[in-house]
Formats: sequence, C-alpha cells, structure tokens
Amino acid sequence: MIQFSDIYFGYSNAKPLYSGLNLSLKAGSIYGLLGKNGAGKSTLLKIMAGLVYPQKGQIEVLGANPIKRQPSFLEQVFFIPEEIDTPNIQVLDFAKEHLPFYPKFNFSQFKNHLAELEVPLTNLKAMSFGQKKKVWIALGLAANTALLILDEPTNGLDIPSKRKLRKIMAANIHDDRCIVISTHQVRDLDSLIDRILLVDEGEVIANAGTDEITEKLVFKQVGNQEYLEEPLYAENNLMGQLVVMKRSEEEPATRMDIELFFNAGIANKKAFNKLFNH
Amino acid sequence: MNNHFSLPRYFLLLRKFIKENSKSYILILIAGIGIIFLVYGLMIVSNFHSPFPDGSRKLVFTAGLLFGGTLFSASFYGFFSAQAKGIQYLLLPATNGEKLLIGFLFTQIVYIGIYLLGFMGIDLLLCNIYNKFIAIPEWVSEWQLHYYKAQYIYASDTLLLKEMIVLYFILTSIAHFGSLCFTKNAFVKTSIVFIILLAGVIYLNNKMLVMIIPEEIMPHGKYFQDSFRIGPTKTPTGIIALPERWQAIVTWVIPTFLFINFWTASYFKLKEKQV
Repeated sequence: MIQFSDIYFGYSNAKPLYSGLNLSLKAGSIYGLLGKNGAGKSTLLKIMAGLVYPQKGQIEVLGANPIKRQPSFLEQVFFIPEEIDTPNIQVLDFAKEHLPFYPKFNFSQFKNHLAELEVPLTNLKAMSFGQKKKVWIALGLAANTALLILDEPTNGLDIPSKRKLRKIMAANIHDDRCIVISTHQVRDLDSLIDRILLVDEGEVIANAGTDEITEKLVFKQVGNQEYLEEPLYAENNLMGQLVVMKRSEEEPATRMDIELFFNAGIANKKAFNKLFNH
Repeated sequence: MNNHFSLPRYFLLLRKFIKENSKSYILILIAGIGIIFLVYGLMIVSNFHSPFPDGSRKLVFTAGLLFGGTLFSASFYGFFSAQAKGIQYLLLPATNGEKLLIGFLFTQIVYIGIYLLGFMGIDLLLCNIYNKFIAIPEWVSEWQLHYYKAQYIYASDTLLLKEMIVLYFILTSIAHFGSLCFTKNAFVKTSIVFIILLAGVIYLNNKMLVMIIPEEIMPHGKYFQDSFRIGPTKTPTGIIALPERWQAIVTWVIPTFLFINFWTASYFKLKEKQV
C-alpha cells in the first residue's frame, strides 16, 4: 500500500532528516508510529500524504505518487493533524460539506461516531478542543478512505473518550484499509496497534507486527541480576529491573510492553534493526 | 475521481468555501463599507460651505480599491499560517485549478464587484446629501458654481475608473501570488519585494537608455515614459515616441502580460505548496 524507496528528506540541505529511507506499509493493519520528539514522525506522515516532497527517492502510496496530489489519490487519504482547526459552522453541515469529496463517506456512520464519542450536535465554535478533535476523528473514520493518518489523536481527549476511540477504531479496520497513528501516548493505544514503526534520527529501527515482536522478545520484571543471559535492554524500578530479552523457543510468550519496547529500541538500535527491520 | 478540472466539483468547493468563510467575509464587508462611509461622509459634512472635494473622493476611492484589494488578496491564503488549515486545504480532493479558481473568483471578481457597487452606492447617497445641503457662499461667481455641485464618480471621471481597475487587476494578481509565497505577513513582505523590484526596473530602464542613446544626444539617459525629448532641455532637437499603434499595444500588453504571468506563477506555487 505504501512503499518508500531510498527517500532523502531534510528541511535544510545541511541537516538531512531521512537519508536513504526504505519502508513498506501494508493494508489491513493499524500502525503505531513511535519516536522521540524531533525524530521525524510527523514529517514521515506528511511525506506519505504528499504534504512535503522528498529531495530524492521514490514514493508510492495507493499506487499513486502523493506529490501530485491528484483528486483520485486525495479521496483515498484522510489526514488528521495534531493541531486541528474547525470553521464556525454546525457540526452536521461541516460533514455535509466534506461528504461529496469522499466517495465512500457514510453520513450515518459519522453521526453514530459522534453519538458514541458524546459530541453534541452544535456549532463547532461552541465546542472544546477535545470535542473538535473527536469531530475530526469521526469525520476521518466516516470518510472510509483506504489510508487514514492520525497525528497524536489522543491529545486533548479525556480518559473515557480514549477508551471509546480505541473501540471505534478497532471496529473500523478492515483488509483494504491502513491506519497510521503517530503517538507519544503509547499506553492510550497499545491494545489497538498491531504493527509498530519505530523511528529515530531519520532511521527506521523497527517495522514489525506485535505478534512478531512477542515471538522474538520477552518483556519481564526480574530481581536484580536474576537473568542468565545479557538482556537487550534493562531499566531499574522499585522491584528490580524491567528487561527486554531475546525469547528462546521454550520460553512462554509475554504480553508486549510498547513503552519498554520503545525504550529498548532507542537504546539498542543495532540489535532491533537486525531483528525487525525488513 | 476525475483528475482534471471539473465544474460540478468546483461548485462543491465554492459552496464549502462560502459556507465556512461567509461570516468573516460579511464582517470584512461591513467594516470596509463602514470605513469608506465614515471617511467620505466626514469629507462631505466638512465641505458643506466649500467646493465638492472631488480630489479627496478620488483618493478615498483609489485607496479603498487598491489598498483594500491588495490587502484582501495578500491575506487570501493567510490560513496557511495555521498548519492544520493548510493541511486540510491541500488534502481536500480537488484539483489545483479548482482551488485556484476560488482565489481568482474572490480576489478578481467578488471583491472589485462588491467594492464598486458599495462605493457607488455610498457616492450616490453622499452626492445627493451634498447637493441638498450645500450652502454656497455669496461671493462665489457664477462661473465657479459648478465646483459646488457633486457629480457621481462614474459620470465624472471614467478614465480614472478604467486606469484604477486595470491597476487593481495587476496589483491584486501580484498580492495573490505573494499570499502563496509568504506564510506570515504576506502583505508587508510582498510590498517590500514589489518596491525593490520596481526600483530595480526603473534603474535598469535608465541604464538601458544610457546604453542605447549616445551621451551627446541625451546626457545621463532618461526614464522612459511614453515619449521623450532629445537634446538640450530648452531647445530640443527632436522627440522620440513609439508609433501610435505600438503605444496602444504596449498599454494593453504589459498589464495583460503581468496579469497572466502572476496567475500562472500562482498556479504552480499552489501546486508545489508544502506545509
């Protein structure tokens, strides 16, 4: 669905952000794009949508070149940025104005999502930031585009809304759709994401499914120096250490800890690259 | 979806644009009309014992048309300063031509249309008020009486109207392009670039004339207008002017050339816009 081949990008020539980036994203998954501040997550999302142009390399998204921003491509892509903006109109009118531009837009689905997220059917001006964000998310989901990109979708949402959002998004993924979510709030979405894309310093450290990760790694709490084998990553806590280790065949699989995976990936790039970047 | 220009999609885009922006545009319209009415009205009230302030009226008309028009055009894409709006705009499934035509419609047709109607409406009202309340001083001779009669602007100076409208189209096409080039303070930045370029063109014009006309015929060159004299100022030896047909062509070709060029540049700038 999305193919990056040897992509070079930087906001200035002196400081490239991505150099020779290769990446492949498939339909039918919810990708969690993780990375530190300034790692280039939002830029990667913008390159996918055709909002910024790489200096070198080939990109193919949904069989098209996103740089051209042709209507046949744009009708299949919906991007919800971190900071959102809404006009001063009624929420249903807002959706009605978008409806003709997205052939698969489902208006009743939009209204259902608004109801589930408890968004009042008022003027957008009267809404809080969180409510406006929920309107955009409902709009993005109801547009039924093949590619849905969300940049920090849970920012500004209250705790019950985050739970509802997970439920709605899980119900909206299907084989022809790819959802890419960039987030720092990994705990908000860890049960939703089924593939992880970890980037740091312009490099993809891991691009793997959560089942593949739990097949190859174990995440566990151990007492001080209890492990026999050197872990890939360890961090101290009150009970001893949280470790990430390579999983042996006989060892039972553990539940994935995205935060620990993230920290381990950043700390031990080389090993993670070797294990997951393919 | 069709990747070429589609009229039905353009109307959908236009409807969306109007629905989302109508309230702010109505506020701009009320403020603009209010300012013109206030300035022009004060001029009329303070001249009830004086000749009709025709020169000041032209100044108000020109300032509202050119300053207001360029300000409006230069701020047309001001929403790009908020990244979220810029993203929504660029990713809306419509062609760049359709999106550009919205800008063209509002800066080249809607603004000037509403401005001319608004100004002429105010002018009609205030000219009638002036003619009704004017108190002509007794010492005014009969041959001076016509200075104390207000004539509607469209009847009094059609050449000014034509020239200003042509200038409006050129300046707003430049301002519109500037709005796409500069994300913040587009009006100020476009004005600075425009002034620098204009000064450069005038300077180059002089240097070119110095190069092609010998020093003894025309000392230090001159700035080309429509014609100029050669030789000593007091006793010129000749006049150089373009042939009459050329003159007519140049008058239309240069504005048309600038207008088309800046709109073409705007199209490509929009096509390559990144946020």
